[in-house]
Amino acid sequence: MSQTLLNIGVAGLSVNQTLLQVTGNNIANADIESYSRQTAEISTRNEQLRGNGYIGAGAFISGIDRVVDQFLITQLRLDTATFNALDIFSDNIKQVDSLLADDLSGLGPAIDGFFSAIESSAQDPTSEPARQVVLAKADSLVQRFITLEGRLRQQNESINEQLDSLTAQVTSLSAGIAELNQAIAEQIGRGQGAQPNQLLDQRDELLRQLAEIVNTTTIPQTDGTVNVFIGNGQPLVIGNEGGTLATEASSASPGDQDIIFIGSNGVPQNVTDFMSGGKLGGLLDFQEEVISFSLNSLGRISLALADEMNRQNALGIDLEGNLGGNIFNGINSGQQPAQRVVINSDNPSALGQDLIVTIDDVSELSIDDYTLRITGVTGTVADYTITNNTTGATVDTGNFDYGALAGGLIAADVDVNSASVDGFTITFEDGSLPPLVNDSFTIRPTRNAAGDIEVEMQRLAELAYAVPISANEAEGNDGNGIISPGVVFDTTTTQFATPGALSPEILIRFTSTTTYDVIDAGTNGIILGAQPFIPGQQNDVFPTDPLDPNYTGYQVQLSGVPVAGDEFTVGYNTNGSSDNRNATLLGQVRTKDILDGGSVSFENGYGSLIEDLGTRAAQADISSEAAQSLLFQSQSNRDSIAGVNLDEEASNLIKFEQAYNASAQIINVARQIFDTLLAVFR
Amino acid sequence: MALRFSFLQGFNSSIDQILRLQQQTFQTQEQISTGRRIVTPADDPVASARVIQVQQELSQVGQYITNADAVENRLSLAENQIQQVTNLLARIKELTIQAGGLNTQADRQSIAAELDTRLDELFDLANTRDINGEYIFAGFKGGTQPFIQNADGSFSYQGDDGQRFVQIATTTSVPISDSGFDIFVDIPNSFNTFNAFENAANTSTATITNSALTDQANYDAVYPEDYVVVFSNATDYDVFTRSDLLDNGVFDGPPVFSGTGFTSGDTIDGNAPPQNLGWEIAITGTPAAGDAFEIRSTDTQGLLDTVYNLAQGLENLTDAEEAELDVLFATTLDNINAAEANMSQIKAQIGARQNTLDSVRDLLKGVELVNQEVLSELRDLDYAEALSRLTLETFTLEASQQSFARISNLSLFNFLR
Repeated sequence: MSQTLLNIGVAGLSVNQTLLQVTGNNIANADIESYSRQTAEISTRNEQLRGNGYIGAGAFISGIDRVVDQFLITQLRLDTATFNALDIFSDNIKQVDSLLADDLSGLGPAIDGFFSAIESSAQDPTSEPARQVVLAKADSLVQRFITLEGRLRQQNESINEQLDSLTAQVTSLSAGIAELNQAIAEQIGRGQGAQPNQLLDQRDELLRQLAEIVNTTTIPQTDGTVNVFIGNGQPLVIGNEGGTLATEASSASPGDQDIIFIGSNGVPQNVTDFMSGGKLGGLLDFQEEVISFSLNSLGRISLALADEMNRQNALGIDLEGNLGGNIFNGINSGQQPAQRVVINSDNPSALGQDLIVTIDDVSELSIDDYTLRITGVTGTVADYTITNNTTGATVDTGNFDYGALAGGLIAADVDVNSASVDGFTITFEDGSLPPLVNDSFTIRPTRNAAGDIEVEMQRLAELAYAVPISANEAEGNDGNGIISPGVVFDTTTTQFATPGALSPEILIRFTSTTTYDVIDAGTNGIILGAQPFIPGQQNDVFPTDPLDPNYTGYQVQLSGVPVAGDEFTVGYNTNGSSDNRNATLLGQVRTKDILDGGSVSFENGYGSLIEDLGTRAAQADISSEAAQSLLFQSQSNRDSIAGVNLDEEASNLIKFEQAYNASAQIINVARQIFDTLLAVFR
Repeated sequence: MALRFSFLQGFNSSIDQILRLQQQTFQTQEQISTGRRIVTPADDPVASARVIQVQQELSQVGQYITNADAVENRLSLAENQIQQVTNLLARIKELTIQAGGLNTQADRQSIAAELDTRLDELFDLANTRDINGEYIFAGFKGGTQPFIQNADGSFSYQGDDGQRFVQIATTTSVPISDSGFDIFVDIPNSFNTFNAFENAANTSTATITNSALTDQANYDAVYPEDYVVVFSNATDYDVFTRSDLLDNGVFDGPPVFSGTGFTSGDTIDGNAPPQNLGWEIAITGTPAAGDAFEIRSTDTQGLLDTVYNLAQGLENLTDAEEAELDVLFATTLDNINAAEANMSQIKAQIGARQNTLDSVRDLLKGVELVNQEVLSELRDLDYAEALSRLTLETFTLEASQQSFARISNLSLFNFLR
């Protein structure tokens, strides 16, 4: 009997020693975040039948388990992915917002500076220092565009590098998880079902780290392994095999990276569009929503500015009496039209096509990118659709009809080889290879513009501050007729074809108080005879319809009280160095509504870019804070189940120590009983 | 579940809270040290966008105010020159009246001498240049001297009617110049007269060396008809009406009169019977075939011409030509009065512009002030609020630091001795 008692005592010692070990292990690991506290499970030994009944035989340790709640761990992973995505998005958009909205580094002050210089110069059109300031400010405005564009591209580059390193991390994590899967399966087998708690903790930690990078789905298997899926069901880890995630230069969008998944079958798959959550998802969202958006918006503003200033300058004449040239480089000059097209490197055809995109009307441009897709080819006719990449809407369908192909190449002469939509035209150039079915081309009308703007004007005198026409009252008029100074809309008409002259110069002679003739002052031939003059209002002299044969590209108005014989002349504004009419109009471009079909000035266009970015930044900040508190919450929930509480362990320590002491006492009692029995025979 | 609280969780959340409070406190401190509510645009992205708009407006308004100041300077210069012209006119009028009381040609000639210098002064004023060397009364042709004297002594205006405007508000622009034509040329004459000039398309160098109104009554009868003298060769010419020319550029009507045997220096007498047109011109040089000389009617006479004609009359008219002298004095006084009236009108216009300028500038300053207030409201810090916030934040921070120190000491192990 004392033998049994001794056995019970020894069992108690052993059980409590193990319990103390588990407690000690908990205390030792209290500092490790990923550690899940462990508890030992104690079971009662089978009782034994004695003459008077069943009697207990002590206890034993039946298992040591982690205290975990799988639901909370999954929740934690989900919240980790969400928070990391929003956090990295918010950090990055703050940088862009600060760059563009800053008092000093933004575009605003540069635009202000440029137009203030023009307005100052307009007061004093012959002043060379004032003109010098205008060109200097134009230069700093261009530099600002280029710097902002450069900074955005730099940020994009750094994101690409981060994508490289994040995908590498995913690959190494997936390898780690696969290894752990194997080890866990083996150890469970070896331990006949006993859980390798530390390995399980390690695997949970790797899965959490993976969730920091990208959203994952995990499916536990019966052998203790887990399978991990990312994106659109791509199997990143299956049992003991890990997949690879990598980056590759994008086929449709140079400068961007595609995310490539290579699974166990070794076939690379582009999963860029499927990646969500985690830093990877956040960065990809940021690239698409903010970088592209900002570059395109800036680009469109630079196009509008350059085009409108050039257009207005062309309506004037410079200090030397010549029609104005470009202030900025033309929006369809140099390599720009070709750079707006990206030939998808995955196209079925070779990369021999030669496409250009020219911008026809800045006011119709959107800030979106487009895809031109060849949907079918019959003979020399290629059907196409043009899709807006942002809205996904098909904006144009039609066909290119090349007619006769010269030596297999497109010949432009008589053929329909261009498509126009949203303010731009896509053209297959002469000598281009014809497209094949399923070819696609990314069209980015505004993407590079902010980096391509240049100041083309070299000489101060070329700023065209004067208007080419000069309307005058002849000396000796008896009446009080008034001729307006005149406005010029178009200097490409024959009227302005001869440099330094108006062809023809015009003489307006009143034949009565209500009629006048418009006479060619050179030949004295009547151009418009017996025109009605309505006293008390402004009378347009020339037709306003550009298709009218008498359209001149300019307009003057008559008013006042003329009498028969009164004459007015319209001639070239020779020596009009003090004229500032066009300079004033150049200054007014600042507030002219150009963008979005002529409803938004480009200054306001910039304002709305800032506003948009600002709103997104504010939103991202709020969402990221909310996600952080959710993450904190689920971390707390996990910790309150799995974390170590030292007070609890202290009390366990006391409890188990006391139980241990008691068990030792049992052995002592057993020994004394045995001694007492022996003493009887002594 | 909520009953358990892990050791790590306790530390982590406390530290997390403390870090958060620290960040807030430092942010408030940064706001106080910069005086800005928005230190970086990320602090309040929406207000930052508004700040940019207001700054744009401020820059625009600032430019308008600069423009207005520049306009004021230019208007003052013009006003000053016009005032000097007015002063000169008073002296010329005095001289005219004085000459009217003189009996001998010699006395009149001495007055003519002073008139000549006054005419030079007037000529200089009409050709005023600004500090940049621009002629201020030349319209848009600021690089061209606006008034020149022709071979026949008359004055021509070389500028144009151009008037320069400067924008001083979004929808307001004011003229900052007046053309010499409006100031010095377009002045009503007390009698109908004409200007004679060579057609710009002439190929020879023949010039009009004299032009005169020889019979006012005859001229008045045909006024405002214009005439063109067209040479068919160096010696033969036809005189057409200008309306004949302007009827599709061909002289299809019969000439008013014709002449032959022209030699250099000859006078073409439009007043000779039977035409009786009241004018004559003298041409020097050999005209080429197709050359034209125009006689253009007008009821205005330039101020410089008026003064020149007076000086010439005082110089050349003999005592016997009393009737002509009387007419000269009467018409000159009329014309000078008309010129004075014209100067007053120009001055009134300049004054009106200055008034516009002042009121617009007041308005702009008001807008500027309001915008600055808006900007300050958007961007600047409410110190009272910020300081009390800082106090609260530092208090909370200290409290959480102290309580953390205290709570972290609480451990059952402390009692296991």
